[in-house]
Amino acid sequence: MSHRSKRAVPVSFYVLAAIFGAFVLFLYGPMIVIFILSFQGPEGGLTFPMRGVSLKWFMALLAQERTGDAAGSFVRSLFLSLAVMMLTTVISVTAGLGFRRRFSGDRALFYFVVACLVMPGVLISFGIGLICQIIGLQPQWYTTALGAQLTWTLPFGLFIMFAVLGRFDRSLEEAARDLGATNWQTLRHVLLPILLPGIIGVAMFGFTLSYDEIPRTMFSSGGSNTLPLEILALTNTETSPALYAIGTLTTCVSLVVIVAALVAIVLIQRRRSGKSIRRIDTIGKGS
Amino acid sequence: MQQTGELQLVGVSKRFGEVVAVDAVDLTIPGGSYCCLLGPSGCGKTTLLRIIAGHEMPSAGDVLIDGESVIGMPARSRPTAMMFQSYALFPHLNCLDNVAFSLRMRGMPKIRRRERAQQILDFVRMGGFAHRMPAQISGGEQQRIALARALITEPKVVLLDEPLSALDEFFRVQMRVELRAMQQELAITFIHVTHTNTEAIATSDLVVVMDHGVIVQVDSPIQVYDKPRSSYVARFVGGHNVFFGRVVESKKEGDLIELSNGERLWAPPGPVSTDRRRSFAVRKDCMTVSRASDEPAKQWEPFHKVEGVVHAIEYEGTRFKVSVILNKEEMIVALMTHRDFMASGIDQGDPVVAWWSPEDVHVLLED
Repeated sequence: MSHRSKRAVPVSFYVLAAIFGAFVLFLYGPMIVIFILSFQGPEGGLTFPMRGVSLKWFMALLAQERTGDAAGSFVRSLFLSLAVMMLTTVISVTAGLGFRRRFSGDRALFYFVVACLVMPGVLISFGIGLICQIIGLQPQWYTTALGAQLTWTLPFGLFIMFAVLGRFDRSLEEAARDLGATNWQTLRHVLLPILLPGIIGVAMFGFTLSYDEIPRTMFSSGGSNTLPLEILALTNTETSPALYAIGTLTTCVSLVVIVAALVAIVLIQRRRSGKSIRRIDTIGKGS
Repeated sequence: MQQTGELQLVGVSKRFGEVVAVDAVDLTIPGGSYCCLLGPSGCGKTTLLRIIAGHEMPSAGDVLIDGESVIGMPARSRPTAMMFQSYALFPHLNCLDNVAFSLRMRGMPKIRRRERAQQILDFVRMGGFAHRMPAQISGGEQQRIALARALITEPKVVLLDEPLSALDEFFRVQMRVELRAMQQELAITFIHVTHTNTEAIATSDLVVVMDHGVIVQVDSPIQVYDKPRSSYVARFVGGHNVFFGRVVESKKEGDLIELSNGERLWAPPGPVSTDRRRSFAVRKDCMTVSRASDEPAKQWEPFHKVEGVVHAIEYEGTRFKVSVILNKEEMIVALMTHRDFMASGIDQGDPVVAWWSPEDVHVLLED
C-alpha cells in the first residue's frame, strides 16, 4: 500500500475528476436543491434561506387551492405512462421477434422506425394538433397524446429488443421445439422467461420516457394537461414552493419505477446463477 | 426381433443459395447402432443431423425412421431427440425442470413429471444435481443434464452434435465411454457428429466419413481405420502414410509406381487414373525405420522402402513417432514400439530407410 500512495497522481486525473464532479453536480445538484426547498416552512419563499421545515406545500397540492389541477394531471400522467408502457412492451417484443427473420420490406420498415427518433417531437405533436383541427377532432391525452408518445417510445423499445435478442442463443428455441414444444409453448416457456430482464427494461424505458415527455404531448393532449405540461404552466404562474413539492413527488415516482425494474432484473439473474451463490461477480453470468 | 430406430436417408440434399451443403446422400443406419458422422468442419455432417432432427428442411430427398417418412413432420413430432453442441440448457430452469421440460409440454402433472425426471437424472448419475441451476454446474455436468433431457422423450434416435468438443481431454475420453455404455443399455440408435477421428473410431459401430457434402465411406471403425477407401479417408482418419505416383511398369501381380523423388515402389493391382497415376497407403504403425548405414538388405524387400532423413522424434509413452522427410514436400510418419525404436538406434538428422512388408500395402480405390 505504501508504494501505491507514493506514486504520483497524474495531472489528467485531477482534470478528469473535476469534469466528472461538474457532471455529477449538474445532474443531481438541481434535484437536491428542489428536494430540500420543497420542505420549506409555511412562511418561506422560492429560494433559500429555509424558514423552518413543513409539509405544507405537499398538502397544498392535494388541496388544489393555488396549484391548479396538479393531482388530476398526475393521475392522467400515471395512466398515460402505464398505457404507453404496456403498448411499448407488447409491440416492441413482438416486433423484435418478427425482425429476427428477413421479410420483404424489413429494411424500409427499420429506417422508418429510425426516422421516428430523428423527427423533432414538437413537430409531431404540432402536426397532430393541426390535423385534428382540420378534420374537426378533439385531441385527448388518452388518444392523440398516446399515439404521439408511442412514436418516441416504440423505436427505443425496438432497439432494446434488438440488443437483447442479439445475445439470445437460437439453439434454446430449437431445443424447446425438439422437446415437443409448440410455437406458442416455446414463446411462453422459453423465449419470454429468458428475455424477461430485457423486457422489464423495455417497460421501464416506456414508462419513464412517457412520464416526462413534453414536446410530443404539448399540442396533442387537448384540454387536460399531463403532469409535465402542468409543471411547465405552473413555472409561469406559481410562486410558491408547491412547485418544488410537485418536483419532489414526481421524481420519487420515477425513482420507484426505476428501482423496481432494476431489483426485478437483479433478482431474476441471481435466481438463474443459483440461489445459494451470493457473490456479486456471479450475478451477471446468469443470463 | 427387429431393432427399432432404423434411419434411412434417400437422396438427401441441402442447398443454401449457391452452396451445396449436403449432396444426394443415401445412408441406412441400422436400429440400435451407434453411428458417427465424421468429417472436417463444413463437410455437411451437422446439416445432415439437423435435417434428421427437423431443424432444417432438405432441398430434396427423404428421411425415414423405421420405414416411415418424417419429412414434413415438425421437429417436435419426430421420434428424435437432439443434444446441442452448446447443450442449450434453459438458464431459467433448474436441472430437474430442464429434464422435465418435454413432459411439461405434454401436460404431465408436476409431481409425475418430476418423479420421472429424477429417475432419468439418476440414470445419467446426476441425481444430486436436481435443484442446481445450469449456470452453477460444470460443462461435463451440463452435458449429462442435456443428455437426460433428450432421453426423457424416449426417442428412437438420439442425435448428438459434437457432444464432446467443449470438454477437456480427460472428460472427453471418460464421457465417450459413458455415451457408448448408455447407448448399449438403452439399445436405441445414437448418431454422433464429430470431427475427431479417435472419437469416431472408439465409440461407434458404424463410421460415416463425409467430405464436401458427400459420404465417402461407410464402414465399421476397424475397416475405416485399417482399409480406408480413398487417400482423403486415409489422410483424415490419420493412421496411414499415403503414397502417390506414376505407374512405370505394370504386371499381373502389381504395379511399379514412381514417386516424385524418383523412388520406385510396388503395389498390388488397383485402379489407375487416366494419366497413369495411382496411390496406396501403409499404416504408420506397420512401418519400421532403420539407419541407412545398417547392413540390412535381408529385411527389406525391393520396392518396399523409402529413403529420407529423420525430421523429428516424439516420444508418446507407448510408442515413438518418427517423422521422416523424403524430399522437400513429402513427409511420412512411422509409429514404432519402444523396443523397435531402441534397437534401431536412430536419431534426429540421421539418413534412414523406412520400410514395410508387402502384405501391409493397402490399395486405395479412389482419389
